[in-house]
Amino acid sequence: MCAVQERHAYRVRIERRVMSNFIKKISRRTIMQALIALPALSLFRNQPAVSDPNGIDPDEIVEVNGWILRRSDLA
Amino acid sequence: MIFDSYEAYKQASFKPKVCLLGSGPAGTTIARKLGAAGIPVVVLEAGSREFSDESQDFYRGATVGDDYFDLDITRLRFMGGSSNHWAGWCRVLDSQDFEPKAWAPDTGWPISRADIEPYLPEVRDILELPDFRPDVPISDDIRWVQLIKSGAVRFGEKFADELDRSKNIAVVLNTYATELAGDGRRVTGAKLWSNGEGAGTITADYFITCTGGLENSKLLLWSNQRSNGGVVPNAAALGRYWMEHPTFEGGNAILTNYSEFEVDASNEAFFSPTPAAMERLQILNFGIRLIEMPYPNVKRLIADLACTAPTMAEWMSDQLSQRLRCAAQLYVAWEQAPLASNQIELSKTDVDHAGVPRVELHWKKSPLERRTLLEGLRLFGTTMAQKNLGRVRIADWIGNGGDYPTNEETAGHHHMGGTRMGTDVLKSVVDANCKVHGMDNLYVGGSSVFCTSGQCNPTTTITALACRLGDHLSKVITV
Ligand SMILES: Cc1cc2nc3c(=O)[nH]c(=O)nc-3n(C[C@H](O)[C@H](O)[C@H](O)COP(=O)(O)OP(=O)(O)OC[C@H]3O[C@@H](n4cnc5c(N)ncnc54)[C@H](O)[C@@H]3O)c2cc1C
Repeated sequence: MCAVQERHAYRVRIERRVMSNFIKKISRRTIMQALIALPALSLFRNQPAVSDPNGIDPDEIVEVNGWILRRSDLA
Repeated sequence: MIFDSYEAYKQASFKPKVCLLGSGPAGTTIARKLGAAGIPVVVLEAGSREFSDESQDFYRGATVGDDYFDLDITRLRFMGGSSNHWAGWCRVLDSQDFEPKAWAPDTGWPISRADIEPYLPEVRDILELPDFRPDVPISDDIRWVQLIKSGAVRFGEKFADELDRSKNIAVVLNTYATELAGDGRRVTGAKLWSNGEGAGTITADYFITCTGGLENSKLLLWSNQRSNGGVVPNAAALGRYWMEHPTFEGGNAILTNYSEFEVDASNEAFFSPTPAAMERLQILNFGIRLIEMPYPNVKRLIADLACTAPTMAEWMSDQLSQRLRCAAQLYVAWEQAPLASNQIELSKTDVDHAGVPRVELHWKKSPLERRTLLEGLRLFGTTMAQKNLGRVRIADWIGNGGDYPTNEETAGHHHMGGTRMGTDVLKSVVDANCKVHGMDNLYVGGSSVFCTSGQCNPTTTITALACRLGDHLSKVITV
């Protein structure tokens, strides 16, 4: 094995060890959550920012004076 | 054959195998099935061919508890029974109505809807109905349901000629079966009252009582009392678990597009919660009837909405100026929780002309029903808003937990329970074949055998159960 090949093999071994330590440290549950979130993250990237700065959902269902309305109806 | 008196019948020397009491939808259907199977059956009918005050007076009684109709108003006592004034609204109980609900004690039947489904084509013929259509879900929570408004078959009129021509069926009018006699295993005879006096006893191998959802219990309670438990040996549940369909105006709806729903000829559409929503909220079955609203009331509704949601109200008045149909009243009817305390008793103070105690009905709506009413309307309102189909306003008395209004419909004239079907003799009176527990020859027809009421009108299911019982007895009885 030449010097270049030796360096490459060494790097691969180190990387594997670092990855497995990383995987051991974070829980399986966190990884699953990250995997589930991935497609959603890409979706969010294409979306404009949430329209209401206060985080109020205009489609939320509210009951006012007996009426069952969307929050946006109350404008 | 139809006889106008028991005297006339006696002269005909007819030898019945089966004695059937009552000629309403249940009795007539079972008699026709037995007659078609070649089994001789005598049908004793307390009333005559037409309404009379004298006959109707036997139906007087008292109610204790919540407001209810006078008991001589809520049913009819002549040939054809209450089918002489029923409205003809038809639907079979839902599959889930037959299943136990973990959150509502004493629910569930010993049979499933599949057990009556084979009889539905026959029921459609009898009641002259179009095809049944499956429910259409409009959200995860709400389904749009079919309630057929039929021509309301009058059983007495429709089948009189057929019964008159029949060699196997003898209908005997003006003949009131006041009590059954029994020895704890078999009914040995029925005592009769005709033309204002006792008319002796009739015997037969089998007896079927189809005297209606109040009278079945009364007849059996009285018979049992007179024969020391010889007619209903396991009587713990007799008269109990009585149910109705409470009916009230529940609110209003503004519809973004009225033509979203295929309304019927009278511009009405019907909705119910899905089984999943009932389970999630732990409520009972529930029916919403959407009725087109008269114009002046729509204006009042818009004014009310303007206080809460002005933009919405403005949009609505725009709509109103373009087309008049955009608002509806919501009538609600619901399944009652089966409670042992809702029961028919024999009056201790009042008897009819034949000396039989009158009915005393103990009836109250329960807190679970109150929650069903509120949550059912919320489900509908939420679906309408989420799908942008319209907006719903729940009536104040429902939202505020106020008393039930006293000036409204109150209930459906649907008398269910009292001789309910089941396997536990402490909680039921008849078995899955409608045979009284412990008795070899006594059966019950009609909605008194219902274990739960569902939300829909009962007569379609009554007729299906009657076809099933007729079929069963045709196999059991040998001629
Ligand atoms: C105003 C009104 C509207 C209705 N609308 C609808 C509707 O739209 N849809 C629906 O599904 N249901 C409706 N119903 C209910 C429907 O009428 C009943 O479910 C149906 O008639 C019950 O049939 P039945 O044969 O069990 O009893 P019944 O129709 O009550 O018949 C019982 C018969 O037994 C006779 N009888 C009673 N006691 C004795 C005795 N001791 N000896 C001999 N004969 C006796 C009676 O005279 C009667 O003819 C309505 C009822 C009313 C009052």
